Amino acid sequence: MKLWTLTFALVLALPWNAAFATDIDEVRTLLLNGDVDRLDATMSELSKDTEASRIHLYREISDTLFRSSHPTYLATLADWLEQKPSSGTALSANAWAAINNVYLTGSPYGSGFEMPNLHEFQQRWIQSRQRAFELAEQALRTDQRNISAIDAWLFMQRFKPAKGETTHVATRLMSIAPNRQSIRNLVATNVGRAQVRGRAAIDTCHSYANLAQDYNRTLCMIEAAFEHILENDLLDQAGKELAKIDDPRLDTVRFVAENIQGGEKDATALFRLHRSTLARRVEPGEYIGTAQRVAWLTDTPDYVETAHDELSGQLDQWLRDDPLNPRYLLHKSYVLQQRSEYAAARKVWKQALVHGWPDLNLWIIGAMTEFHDENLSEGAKYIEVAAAAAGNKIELLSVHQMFDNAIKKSHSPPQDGVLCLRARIALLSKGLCDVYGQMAGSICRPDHPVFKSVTDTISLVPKNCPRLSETPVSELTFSSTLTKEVAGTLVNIAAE
Amino acid sequence: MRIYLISLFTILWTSSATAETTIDDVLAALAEQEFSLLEERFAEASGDANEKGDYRPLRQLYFAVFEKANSERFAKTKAWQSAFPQSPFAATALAKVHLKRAFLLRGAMASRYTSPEAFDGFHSELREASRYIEVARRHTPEFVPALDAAVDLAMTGHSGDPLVLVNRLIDAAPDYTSMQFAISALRTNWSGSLRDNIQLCVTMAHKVPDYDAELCLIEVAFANKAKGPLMDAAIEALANRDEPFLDYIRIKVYMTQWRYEPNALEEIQRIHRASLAWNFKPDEFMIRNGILQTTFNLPFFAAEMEEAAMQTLAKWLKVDPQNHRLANTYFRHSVRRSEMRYGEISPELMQDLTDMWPDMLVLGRFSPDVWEVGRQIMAFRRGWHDVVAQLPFVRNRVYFSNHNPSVVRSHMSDLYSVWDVATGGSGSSLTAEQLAGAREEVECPLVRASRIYEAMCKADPRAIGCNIGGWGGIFPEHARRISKNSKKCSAGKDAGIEALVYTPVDISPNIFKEGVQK
Repeated sequence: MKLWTLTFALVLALPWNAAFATDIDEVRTLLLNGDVDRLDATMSELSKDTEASRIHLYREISDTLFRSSHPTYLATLADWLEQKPSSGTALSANAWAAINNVYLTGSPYGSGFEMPNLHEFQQRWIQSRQRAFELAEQALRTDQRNISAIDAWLFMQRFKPAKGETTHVATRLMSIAPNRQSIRNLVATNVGRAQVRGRAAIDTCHSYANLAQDYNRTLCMIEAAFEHILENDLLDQAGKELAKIDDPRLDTVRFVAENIQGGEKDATALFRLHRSTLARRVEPGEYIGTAQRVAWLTDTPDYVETAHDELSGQLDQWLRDDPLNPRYLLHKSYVLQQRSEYAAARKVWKQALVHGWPDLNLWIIGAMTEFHDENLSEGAKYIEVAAAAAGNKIELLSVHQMFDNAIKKSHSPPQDGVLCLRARIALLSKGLCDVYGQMAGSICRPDHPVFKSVTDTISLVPKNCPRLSETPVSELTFSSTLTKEVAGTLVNIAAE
Repeated sequence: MRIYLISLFTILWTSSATAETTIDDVLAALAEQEFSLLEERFAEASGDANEKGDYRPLRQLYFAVFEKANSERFAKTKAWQSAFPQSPFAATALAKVHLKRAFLLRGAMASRYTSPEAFDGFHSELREASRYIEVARRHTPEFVPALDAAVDLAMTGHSGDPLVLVNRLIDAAPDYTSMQFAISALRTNWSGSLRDNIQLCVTMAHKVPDYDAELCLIEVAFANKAKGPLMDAAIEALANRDEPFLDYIRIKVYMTQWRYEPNALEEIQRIHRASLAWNFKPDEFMIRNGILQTTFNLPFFAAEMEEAAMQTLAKWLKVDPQNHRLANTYFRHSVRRSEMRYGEISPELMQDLTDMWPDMLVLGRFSPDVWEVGRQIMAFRRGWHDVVAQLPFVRNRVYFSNHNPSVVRSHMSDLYSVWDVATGGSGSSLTAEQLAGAREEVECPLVRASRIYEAMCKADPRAIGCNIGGWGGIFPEHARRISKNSKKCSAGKDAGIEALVYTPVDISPNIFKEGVQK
């Protein structure tokens, strides 16, 4: 660790440790022990404290302990609300738990707050979003000055169906907590729901940024531009300003800027900036995606491996308070599999299923473990689930590719059922390419290896599965309930 | 802002075998100009209808034969009417043809984006229709198809109080089709009022068997795109009804408010598929099909439906060849499908589409969409970068849209793409010389388009096409900057806006027959 980073961390950490009566560990213990009375007393006291570091702590607790998938925490939170239904802090804590549930039920592939693209998962997501709306509203109504309630309410206002007037809440927020985090939250809300995003960012930054001691309009616009990828001219301007400022708080956005605009090709500097994005919880898929780009920009292919390791180290820390986060667990199980620790990988994989069962990638990982153990038919079962989870999207071609490789590598001869499953996936893949054609990109071109494996399989259909060649493609699609059914036989999947 | 005519196909389409033969007979008689035979056939059909109180076959006959944009049938219908000037059957047929022509000449845009020429064409056809409706009703005032036509005409404000005519129609033919004519005519964006509609539902609906005021209010709410409590009540009422004829509404609700219901996907697919056979409205169908493919994740179903829809369209165009709206839909989707599948349009396909062009112009010469088709054909032949060759079509497109900001914007976007490539903003396969040529040609038209766009949007900032932000808002801004910095196009830059607006150009329907090849 570079010396200045260490110093910076110490400087930030010192006054808090000295001043705090409550800290995050204490609240964690209360949650684990289910001590609702003390939890309510502690949090109520904290919620009334307007000292800057205490506000920061309250936010941190909300973000790491309440916005969590920890079954014990969640049980305590529910218990707390049941015992003290009119407690503002109980309401806001439960609002954050509900917000996490929106994330858990959202599309497995995007940021986590997007509606799932498969019809059968949509209603469940809408219900969890509705629940989060209601709790956030109720929390704010109960205690208008509770910072955690304000944050939760603003967070939910990003979603289209809400779009209530936010100005009065923003004004109140700035009177309680006039700081960088508050403004970033406001920008996220206003940009997230705006038509003209750049205009919303400018309005918000200009209205509020100068009210904060640790912030100003320029910093605000820089962060807004790169965190929300605003219009080109704003990005250009922000990039120019960013180059003039040396502030480690801006490392994350500096990384985004480098990533978009290029420029910095000094590998060490770019690695450091990339690593700095781990300071907040990130989506593993996104982190690895940017690592791949960094590796390409700096011509250092090994960096992807390094990034996997660093992320894994970080994940264990995040999993402590968020142990059933399916994306963390998916990544962890993938890394374990890469290290040939199959038994451990399978264990983690099962935990990931609890919330992550709609994710197609998870089933591919599961299948890979089975294929490694030469359980071709068990692996095929997961492949079928993966194909169902792919839901007529072009990703189906990758499922075929992976399955095809496994069959070819297998030492034992595949059964007819396995061959027909491969044939069915291939026919559907070809059908998708017929529909989407050019729009699907290069993967559907005749000379693409992925597509070639599809046509190779199809050439075997009359021999392997004659019945399939006579069935119209639209009748070959997989049952939409298959994913849930199979997941249910493996783990207790999270209740709806 | 498109105005959709409520189609009356719902019932008119349900064809029985006997109706089929009558239609074939009538078509044959018309083709052979055997007008006495026509008179006989219609007298029979009309007598049957009155006797049985079932007007469906008679209406279907008029719909299938005369509500078409078909020059040949038009000429023969005129001849029939001249041969039997007192005949209510012939006069009604001719009135129906004129009504069809009127709406095609007018186009489907809101009045402020409809040109004076289109309105002139519309009204002159309506005057003809009105004349023949009068002839038809002089001796047989309650002849149902003539009343249908009178109701359609009343919608445009050309004759009488629509509510009075609507009531007469329902008294003469108390059936669902009459209700459909009534609801269509009383739409509030034509000459109806909310009060007329409520009166219709409350005082007339119960006269129709198997129909009632609630059903009427549901249909009225959707026909008028009601918002707020009326729409909420309509949807709530719909949930408790099971009349199959409401399927055309049900599918809309299943795709919006009810889309997360467990049976939504099934219902949508069932109704969408069925609508091909009894209620096919090409534009609506294609838009919905696109949504089903992407948002509802039904690629295979949508592909199958699209194929079937294109076949139906092609079949329809054969009997409705000057219907430029059908042709335009067919053109657009043929081009899109080909580009999506093969990344290009084959010269053969473009030739087939180009062959439709002279027919499209007959009733579509005031339609911005038709001129856009012409521009695309020209761009295909001469290359997309040949701005000069496309400009005459663009001038007509913009002029006949009344300088509609979204049309100007789309034109500007085309020009900006050329500019972007010509100035090196995007990659291109053109030669340096071609690029320089395009750069030279595109600047002044771009300056002019940008000036017009600015002026139109300044006059009406809330117009569709003006208030687009985000990424979509960037190119007009760039165009404005190019315009401001332009040295070459000082005329366009400084002239008053009156001097810049487009005027129409005379373009021969045979332009693509003269050897311009790619």
